[in-house]
Amino acid sequence: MIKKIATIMTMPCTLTFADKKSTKEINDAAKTVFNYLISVDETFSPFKPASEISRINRKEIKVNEAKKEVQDVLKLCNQTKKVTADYFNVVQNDQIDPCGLVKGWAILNAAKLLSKMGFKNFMVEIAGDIQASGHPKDKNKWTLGIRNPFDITQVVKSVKLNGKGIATSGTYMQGLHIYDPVSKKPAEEILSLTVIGPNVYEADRFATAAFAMGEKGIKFIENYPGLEGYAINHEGIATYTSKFATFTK
Amino acid sequence: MNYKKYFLALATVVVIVLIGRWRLNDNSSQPADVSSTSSSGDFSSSSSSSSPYSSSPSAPSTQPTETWKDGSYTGQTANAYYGDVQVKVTVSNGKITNVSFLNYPQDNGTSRRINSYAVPQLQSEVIKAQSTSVNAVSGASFTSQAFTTSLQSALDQAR
Repeated sequence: MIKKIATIMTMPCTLTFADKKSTKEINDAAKTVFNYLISVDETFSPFKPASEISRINRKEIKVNEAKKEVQDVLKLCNQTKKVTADYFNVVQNDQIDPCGLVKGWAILNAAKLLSKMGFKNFMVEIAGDIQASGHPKDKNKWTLGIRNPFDITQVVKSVKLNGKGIATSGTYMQGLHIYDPVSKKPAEEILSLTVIGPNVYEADRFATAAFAMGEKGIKFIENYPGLEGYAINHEGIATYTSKFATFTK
Repeated sequence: MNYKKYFLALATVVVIVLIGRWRLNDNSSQPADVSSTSSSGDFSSSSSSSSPYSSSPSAPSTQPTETWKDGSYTGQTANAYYGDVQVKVTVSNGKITNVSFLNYPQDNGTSRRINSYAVPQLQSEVIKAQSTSVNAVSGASFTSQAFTTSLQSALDQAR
Protein backbone atom coordinates (compact mmCIF):
# COMPACT_ATOMS: atom_id res chain seq x y z
CA MET A 1 0.00 0.00 0.00
CA ILE A 2 1.34 3.44 -0.88
CA LYS A 3 0.34 6.63 0.95
CA LYS A 4 0.75 10.12 -0.42
CA ILE A 5 0.22 13.03 1.98
CA ALA A 6 0.03 16.76 1.45
CA THR A 7 -1.17 19.68 3.55
CA ILE A 8 -3.82 21.62 1.66
CA MET A 9 -6.50 23.96 3.07
CA THR A 10 -4.40 23.72 6.29
CA MET A 11 -5.52 20.08 6.56
CA PRO A 12 -3.72 16.78 5.97
CA CYS A 13 -4.84 15.21 2.68
CA THR A 14 -3.98 11.53 2.36
CA LEU A 15 -4.21 9.26 -0.67
CA THR A 16 -3.89 5.52 -0.04
CA PHE A 17 -3.29 3.32 -3.08
CA ALA A 18 -3.82 -0.45 -3.05
CA ASP A 19 -3.81 -1.08 -6.83
CA LYS A 20 -0.79 -2.62 -8.49
CA LYS A 21 0.50 0.41 -10.35
CA SER A 22 3.91 1.78 -11.28
CA THR A 23 5.59 4.45 -9.17
CA LYS A 24 5.14 6.89 -12.04
CA GLU A 25 1.41 6.22 -12.32
CA ILE A 26 0.95 6.74 -8.59
CA ASN A 27 3.06 9.89 -8.51
CA ASP A 28 1.17 11.33 -11.48
CA ALA A 29 -2.16 10.48 -9.88
CA ALA A 30 -1.16 12.09 -6.58
CA LYS A 31 0.04 15.22 -8.34
CA THR A 32 -3.24 15.49 -10.28
CA VAL A 33 -5.37 15.06 -7.18
CA PHE A 34 -3.37 17.44 -5.01
CA ASN A 35 -3.38 20.10 -7.73
CA TYR A 36 -7.14 19.70 -7.95
CA LEU A 37 -7.54 20.11 -4.16
CA ILE A 38 -5.32 23.19 -4.21
CA SER A 39 -7.53 24.71 -6.90
CA VAL A 40 -10.62 23.97 -4.80
CA ASP A 41 -9.02 25.76 -1.86
CA GLU A 42 -8.14 28.75 -4.02
CA THR A 43 -11.70 28.98 -5.33
CA PHE A 44 -13.69 28.31 -2.18
CA SER A 45 -11.66 29.35 0.86
CA PRO A 46 -13.19 32.33 2.72
CA PHE A 47 -9.73 32.79 4.27
CA LYS A 48 -8.11 33.47 0.90
CA PRO A 49 -8.85 37.06 -0.19
CA ALA A 50 -8.66 36.22 -3.91
CA SER A 51 -11.09 33.28 -3.79
CA GLU A 52 -14.49 33.47 -5.48
CA ILE A 53 -16.16 33.07 -2.09
CA SER A 54 -14.17 35.97 -0.59
CA ARG A 55 -15.05 38.14 -3.59
CA ILE A 56 -18.72 37.31 -3.13
CA ASN A 57 -18.45 38.09 0.58
CA ARG A 58 -16.89 41.47 -0.17
CA LYS A 59 -19.74 42.09 -2.66
CA GLU A 60 -17.24 42.42 -5.51
CA ILE A 61 -19.20 39.90 -7.51
CA LYS A 62 -22.69 38.49 -7.25
CA VAL A 63 -23.28 34.75 -6.87
CA ASN A 64 -24.60 34.53 -10.42
CA GLU A 65 -21.37 36.16 -11.68
CA ALA A 66 -19.14 33.59 -10.00
CA LYS A 67 -17.55 30.49 -11.62
CA LYS A 68 -19.98 27.73 -12.50
CA GLU A 69 -18.59 25.30 -9.90
CA VAL A 70 -19.14 27.94 -7.19
CA GLN A 71 -22.75 28.40 -8.28
CA ASP A 72 -23.19 24.61 -8.37
CA VAL A 73 -21.81 24.23 -4.84
CA LEU A 74 -23.98 27.04 -3.49
CA LYS A 75 -27.02 25.39 -5.07
CA LEU A 76 -26.09 22.16 -3.28
CA CYS A 77 -25.74 24.14 -0.04
CA ASN A 78 -29.26 25.50 -0.49
CA GLN A 79 -30.65 22.03 -1.19
CA THR A 80 -28.92 20.71 1.93
CA LYS A 81 -30.32 23.58 3.98
CA LYS A 82 -33.84 22.67 2.84
CA VAL A 83 -33.64 18.98 3.74
CA THR A 84 -32.10 19.71 7.15
CA ALA A 85 -34.70 22.25 8.34
CA ASP A 86 -32.08 25.01 8.00
CA TYR A 87 -29.61 23.31 10.36
CA PHE A 88 -27.14 23.21 7.50
CA ASN A 89 -26.50 26.87 6.81
CA VAL A 90 -23.39 28.26 5.12
CA VAL A 91 -24.38 31.90 5.60
CA GLN A 92 -23.61 33.68 8.88
CA ASN A 93 -23.87 37.46 9.21
CA ASP A 94 -24.21 37.76 5.43
CA GLN A 95 -20.90 35.92 4.90
CA ILE A 96 -20.68 32.59 3.08
CA ASP A 97 -18.47 29.75 4.29
CA PRO A 98 -19.27 26.55 2.37
CA CYS A 99 -16.55 24.40 3.99
CA GLY A 100 -19.11 22.03 5.55
CA LEU A 101 -20.06 20.81 2.06
CA VAL A 102 -17.01 21.61 -0.08
CA LYS A 103 -14.74 19.20 1.81
CA GLY A 104 -16.82 16.09 1.08
CA TRP A 105 -17.66 17.34 -2.42
CA ALA A 106 -13.96 17.83 -3.23
CA ILE A 107 -12.95 14.43 -1.84
CA LEU A 108 -15.61 12.73 -3.96
CA ASN A 109 -14.44 14.62 -7.07
CA ALA A 110 -10.86 13.58 -6.32
CA ALA A 111 -11.99 9.95 -6.04
CA LYS A 112 -13.73 10.27 -9.42
CA LEU A 113 -10.48 11.63 -10.89
CA LEU A 114 -8.64 8.54 -9.63
CA SER A 115 -11.31 6.21 -11.05
CA LYS A 116 -10.95 7.91 -14.45
CA MET A 117 -7.21 7.27 -14.26
CA GLY A 118 -7.87 3.56 -13.79
CA PHE A 119 -7.55 3.19 -10.01
CA LYS A 120 -10.06 0.92 -8.26
CA ASN A 121 -8.78 0.32 -4.74
CA PHE A 122 -7.92 3.48 -2.85
CA MET A 123 -8.93 5.92 -0.15
CA VAL A 124 -9.04 9.70 -0.41
CA GLU A 125 -9.02 11.51 2.91
CA ILE A 126 -9.04 15.12 4.04
CA ALA A 127 -8.67 15.49 7.80
CA GLY A 128 -10.88 12.63 8.91
CA ASP A 129 -13.42 12.59 6.06
CA ILE A 130 -12.81 9.60 3.81
CA GLN A 131 -14.01 8.09 0.53
CA ALA A 132 -13.21 4.37 0.51
CA SER A 133 -13.15 2.73 -2.92
CA GLY A 134 -12.58 -1.00 -3.41
CA HIS A 135 -10.44 -2.64 -0.72
CA PRO A 136 -6.87 -3.23 0.46
CA LYS A 137 -4.95 -6.31 -0.71
CA ASP A 138 -5.42 -8.39 2.44
CA LYS A 139 -9.13 -7.77 3.09
CA ASN A 140 -12.28 -7.23 1.06
CA LYS A 141 -13.12 -3.91 2.70
CA TRP A 142 -11.24 -0.92 4.08
CA THR A 143 -11.13 -0.72 7.90
CA LEU A 144 -11.81 2.76 9.28
CA GLY A 145 -11.59 3.79 12.90
CA ILE A 146 -13.66 6.41 14.72
CA ARG A 147 -11.48 8.67 16.83
CA ASN A 148 -11.98 8.93 20.58
CA PRO A 149 -12.93 12.58 21.20
CA PHE A 150 -11.45 12.29 24.73
CA ASP A 151 -8.11 10.95 23.54
CA ILE A 152 -7.31 11.58 19.90
CA THR A 153 -4.59 8.93 19.87
CA GLN A 154 -7.25 6.25 20.34
CA VAL A 155 -9.93 4.63 18.20
CA VAL A 156 -13.23 3.67 19.86
CA LYS A 157 -14.94 1.88 16.97
CA SER A 158 -13.91 0.30 13.71
CA VAL A 159 -16.08 -0.06 10.61
CA LYS A 160 -15.53 -1.89 7.33
CA LEU A 161 -16.36 -0.01 4.14
CA ASN A 162 -16.25 -0.68 0.42
CA GLY A 163 -17.50 2.06 -1.89
CA LYS A 164 -18.82 4.31 0.86
CA GLY A 165 -17.93 7.57 2.53
CA ILE A 166 -17.45 8.45 6.19
CA ALA A 167 -17.26 11.86 7.83
CA THR A 168 -17.09 13.08 11.43
CA SER A 169 -18.21 16.44 12.77
CA GLY A 170 -17.22 17.70 16.17
CA THR A 171 -15.70 20.58 18.03
CA TYR A 172 -13.57 18.58 20.47
CA MET A 173 -10.39 19.77 18.81
CA GLN A 174 -11.21 23.28 20.06
CA GLY A 175 -10.95 22.17 23.65
CA LEU A 176 -12.52 19.54 25.85
CA HIS A 177 -15.20 19.95 28.50
CA ILE A 178 -16.19 23.52 27.92
CA TYR A 179 -18.81 24.21 30.55
CA ASP A 180 -21.52 26.85 30.51
CA PRO A 181 -20.81 28.72 33.77
CA VAL A 182 -24.46 29.69 34.19
CA SER A 183 -26.20 26.35 33.86
CA LYS A 184 -23.16 24.32 34.99
CA LYS A 185 -23.98 21.89 32.17
CA PRO A 186 -21.47 21.02 29.48
CA ALA A 187 -21.68 23.49 26.62
CA GLU A 188 -21.83 20.66 24.14
CA GLU A 189 -24.00 17.60 24.63
CA ILE A 190 -22.61 15.77 21.58
CA LEU A 191 -18.84 15.86 21.08
CA SER A 192 -18.60 13.86 17.88
CA LEU A 193 -20.99 12.65 15.20
CA THR A 194 -19.80 10.21 12.56
CA VAL A 195 -21.91 9.53 9.47
CA ILE A 196 -21.51 6.71 6.95
CA GLY A 197 -23.17 7.47 3.62
CA PRO A 198 -23.26 6.18 0.05
CA ASN A 199 -20.31 8.53 -0.56
CA VAL A 200 -18.25 11.06 1.40
CA TYR A 201 -20.15 14.07 -0.04
CA GLU A 202 -23.40 12.80 1.52
CA ALA A 203 -21.64 11.77 4.72
CA ASP A 204 -19.94 15.15 5.13
CA ARG A 205 -22.90 17.46 4.52
CA PHE A 206 -25.16 15.45 6.80
CA ALA A 207 -22.54 15.05 9.53
CA THR A 208 -22.21 18.84 9.48
CA ALA A 209 -25.95 19.45 9.67
CA ALA A 210 -26.73 16.71 12.18
CA PHE A 211 -23.94 17.82 14.52
CA ALA A 212 -25.52 21.29 14.66
CA MET A 213 -28.76 19.64 15.81
CA GLY A 214 -27.15 18.43 19.03
CA GLU A 215 -28.80 15.42 20.62
CA LYS A 216 -31.48 15.36 17.93
CA GLY A 217 -28.87 14.85 15.21
CA ILE A 218 -28.57 11.07 15.50
CA LYS A 219 -32.36 10.79 15.20
CA PHE A 220 -32.21 12.82 12.00
CA ILE A 221 -29.60 10.40 10.63
CA GLU A 222 -31.73 7.41 11.65
CA ASN A 223 -34.72 8.85 9.80
CA TYR A 224 -32.79 9.81 6.65
CA PRO A 225 -32.52 6.97 4.10
CA GLY A 226 -29.05 5.73 3.20
CA LEU A 227 -27.25 7.17 6.24
CA GLU A 228 -25.98 5.51 9.40
CA GLY A 229 -24.48 7.38 12.33
CA TYR A 230 -22.49 7.09 15.55
CA ALA A 231 -22.73 9.98 18.03
CA ILE A 232 -20.55 10.32 21.14
CA ASN A 233 -21.71 12.52 24.01
CA HIS A 234 -19.78 14.35 26.73
CA GLU A 235 -20.14 11.37 29.08
CA GLY A 236 -18.54 8.93 26.66
CA ILE A 237 -21.83 7.29 25.74
CA ALA A 238 -22.31 6.53 22.06
CA THR A 239 -25.72 6.40 20.38
CA TYR A 240 -25.90 4.75 16.99
CA THR A 241 -28.47 4.11 14.29
CA SER A 242 -30.28 0.82 13.70
CA LYS A 243 -28.19 -0.43 10.75
CA PHE A 244 -24.85 0.99 11.89
CA ALA A 245 -23.84 -2.43 13.22
CA THR A 246 -23.86 -3.88 9.68
CA PHE A 247 -20.58 -1.99 9.19
CA THR A 248 -18.91 -3.43 12.28
CA LYS A 249 -19.30 -7.12 11.44
CA MET B 1 -12.31 28.90 35.54
CA ASN B 2 -9.17 30.67 36.71
CA TYR B 3 -6.32 31.75 34.48
CA LYS B 4 -4.09 28.81 35.34
CA LYS B 5 -6.79 26.28 34.50
CA TYR B 6 -7.52 28.05 31.23
CA PHE B 7 -3.85 28.00 30.31
CA LEU B 8 -3.62 24.36 31.30
CA ALA B 9 -6.62 23.47 29.14
CA LEU B 10 -5.22 25.38 26.16
CA ALA B 11 -1.77 23.86 26.57
CA THR B 12 -3.33 20.42 26.93
CA VAL B 13 -5.22 20.84 23.68
CA VAL B 14 -2.12 22.05 21.83
CA VAL B 15 -0.03 19.14 23.11
CA ILE B 16 -2.73 16.57 22.35
CA VAL B 17 -3.15 17.99 18.84
CA LEU B 18 0.60 17.88 18.23
CA ILE B 19 0.80 14.29 19.48
CA GLY B 20 -2.23 13.31 17.42
CA ARG B 21 -0.81 14.82 14.24
CA TRP B 22 2.59 13.19 14.74
CA ARG B 23 1.04 9.76 15.18
CA LEU B 24 -1.38 10.21 12.29
CA ASN B 25 1.22 11.24 9.77
CA ASP B 26 3.80 8.64 10.78
CA ASN B 27 6.46 11.34 10.68
CA SER B 28 6.26 11.35 6.93
CA SER B 29 4.33 14.52 6.05
CA GLN B 30 5.81 17.93 5.54
CA PRO B 31 3.92 21.19 5.27
CA ALA B 32 3.12 22.22 1.70
CA ASP B 33 5.05 19.26 0.35
CA VAL B 34 4.04 15.94 -1.06
CA SER B 35 5.69 13.01 0.62
CA SER B 36 5.16 9.32 0.21
CA THR B 37 5.57 6.34 2.39
CA SER B 38 5.38 2.74 1.42
CA SER B 39 4.04 0.87 4.40
CA SER B 40 1.40 -1.51 5.54
CA GLY B 41 -0.58 1.66 5.99
CA ASP B 42 -2.12 0.57 9.26
CA PHE B 43 -2.65 2.69 12.31
CA SER B 44 -2.77 0.55 15.45
CA SER B 45 -4.34 2.07 18.51
CA SER B 46 -3.32 1.43 22.07
CA SER B 47 -4.81 -1.33 24.18
CA SER B 48 -8.21 -0.80 25.75
CA SER B 49 -8.70 1.18 28.89
CA SER B 50 -11.78 1.34 31.07
CA SER B 51 -12.19 5.09 30.99
CA PRO B 52 -12.47 7.21 27.88
CA TYR B 53 -10.68 10.07 29.60
CA SER B 54 -6.93 10.46 29.35
CA SER B 55 -4.78 12.22 31.91
CA SER B 56 -3.51 15.65 30.96
CA PRO B 57 0.14 16.42 30.45
CA SER B 58 1.46 18.96 32.96
CA ALA B 59 1.07 22.65 32.21
CA PRO B 60 4.02 24.90 31.46
CA SER B 61 5.31 26.55 34.62
CA THR B 62 6.00 30.03 33.21
CA GLN B 63 3.83 32.79 34.61
CA PRO B 64 2.09 35.13 32.20
CA THR B 65 3.69 38.58 31.86
CA GLU B 66 0.69 40.28 30.16
CA THR B 67 -1.70 42.25 32.35
CA TRP B 68 -5.14 43.28 31.17
CA LYS B 69 -7.70 45.99 32.01
CA ASP B 70 -10.28 44.76 34.50
CA GLY B 71 -13.75 44.08 33.13
CA SER B 72 -15.74 41.71 30.96
CA TYR B 73 -15.15 41.65 27.25
CA THR B 74 -17.24 39.93 24.64
CA GLY B 75 -15.48 38.91 21.47
CA GLN B 76 -17.03 39.32 18.04
CA THR B 77 -19.13 36.45 16.82
CA ALA B 78 -16.96 34.33 14.58
CA ASN B 79 -18.26 31.90 12.06
CA ALA B 80 -17.27 28.27 12.23
CA TYR B 81 -19.11 26.57 9.40
CA TYR B 82 -21.22 24.60 11.81
CA GLY B 83 -22.41 27.70 13.64
CA ASP B 84 -21.30 30.78 15.55
CA VAL B 85 -18.61 30.93 18.18
CA GLN B 86 -18.48 33.81 20.63
CA VAL B 87 -16.14 34.05 23.58
CA LYS B 88 -16.39 36.21 26.72
CA VAL B 89 -13.29 37.06 28.76
CA THR B 90 -13.37 38.33 32.36
CA VAL B 91 -10.39 40.18 33.79
CA SER B 92 -9.92 40.81 37.52
CA ASN B 93 -6.88 42.45 39.09
CA GLY B 94 -5.21 42.52 35.72
CA LYS B 95 -5.48 38.78 35.14
CA ILE B 96 -7.82 36.76 32.95
CA THR B 97 -10.05 34.94 35.43
CA ASN B 98 -12.61 33.42 33.10
CA VAL B 99 -13.07 32.47 29.49
CA SER B 100 -16.49 31.23 28.54
CA PHE B 101 -18.54 30.54 25.46
CA LEU B 102 -21.56 32.79 24.90
CA ASN B 103 -22.29 31.12 21.62
CA TYR B 104 -21.28 27.69 20.51
CA PRO B 105 -22.31 25.56 17.56
CA GLN B 106 -25.25 23.58 18.85
CA ASP B 107 -28.96 24.01 18.67
CA ASN B 108 -29.59 27.42 20.27
CA GLY B 109 -33.00 26.44 21.51
CA THR B 110 -34.86 28.08 18.63
CA SER B 111 -37.44 25.46 17.94
CA ARG B 112 -37.30 24.15 14.45
CA ARG B 113 -39.27 21.34 13.01
CA ILE B 114 -37.25 18.21 12.69
CA ASN B 115 -38.75 14.85 12.00
CA SER B 116 -38.43 13.53 15.50
CA TYR B 117 -41.05 10.89 15.83
CA ALA B 118 -40.21 8.20 18.32
CA VAL B 119 -37.14 6.28 17.27
CA PRO B 120 -36.88 3.10 19.30
CA GLN B 121 -34.20 1.65 17.01
CA LEU B 122 -31.38 3.85 18.33
CA GLN B 123 -28.94 1.97 20.56
CA SER B 124 -26.32 3.10 23.05
CA GLU B 125 -23.03 1.84 24.39
CA VAL B 126 -20.15 3.12 26.47
CA ILE B 127 -17.22 3.94 24.21
CA LYS B 128 -14.09 1.89 24.70
CA ALA B 129 -10.64 2.17 23.14
CA GLN B 130 -10.11 -0.52 20.50
CA SER B 131 -6.90 -2.25 19.59
CA THR B 132 -8.05 -3.18 16.07
CA SER B 133 -5.63 -2.27 13.34
CA VAL B 134 -7.23 0.27 10.97
CA ASN B 135 -6.32 1.71 7.57
CA ALA B 136 -7.41 5.27 8.44
CA VAL B 137 -9.21 7.18 11.21
CA SER B 138 -12.29 9.38 10.92
CA GLY B 139 -12.40 12.25 13.38
CA ALA B 140 -13.27 15.92 13.59
CA SER B 141 -10.77 18.26 12.00
CA PHE B 142 -9.00 20.98 13.91
CA THR B 143 -10.71 24.15 12.74
CA SER B 144 -9.64 26.61 15.39
CA GLN B 145 -10.10 29.68 13.22
CA ALA B 146 -13.44 30.69 14.70
CA PHE B 147 -12.34 30.10 18.28
CA THR B 148 -9.10 32.08 18.03
CA THR B 149 -10.78 34.87 16.04
CA SER B 150 -13.36 35.44 18.73
CA LEU B 151 -10.88 35.01 21.58
CA GLN B 152 -8.45 37.46 19.99
CA SER B 153 -11.11 40.10 19.54
CA ALA B 154 -12.10 39.79 23.19
CA LEU B 155 -8.47 40.06 24.32
CA ASP B 156 -7.90 43.05 22.05
CA GLN B 157 -10.52 44.97 23.99
CA ALA B 158 -8.88 44.10 27.28
CA ARG B 159 -5.50 45.61 26.49
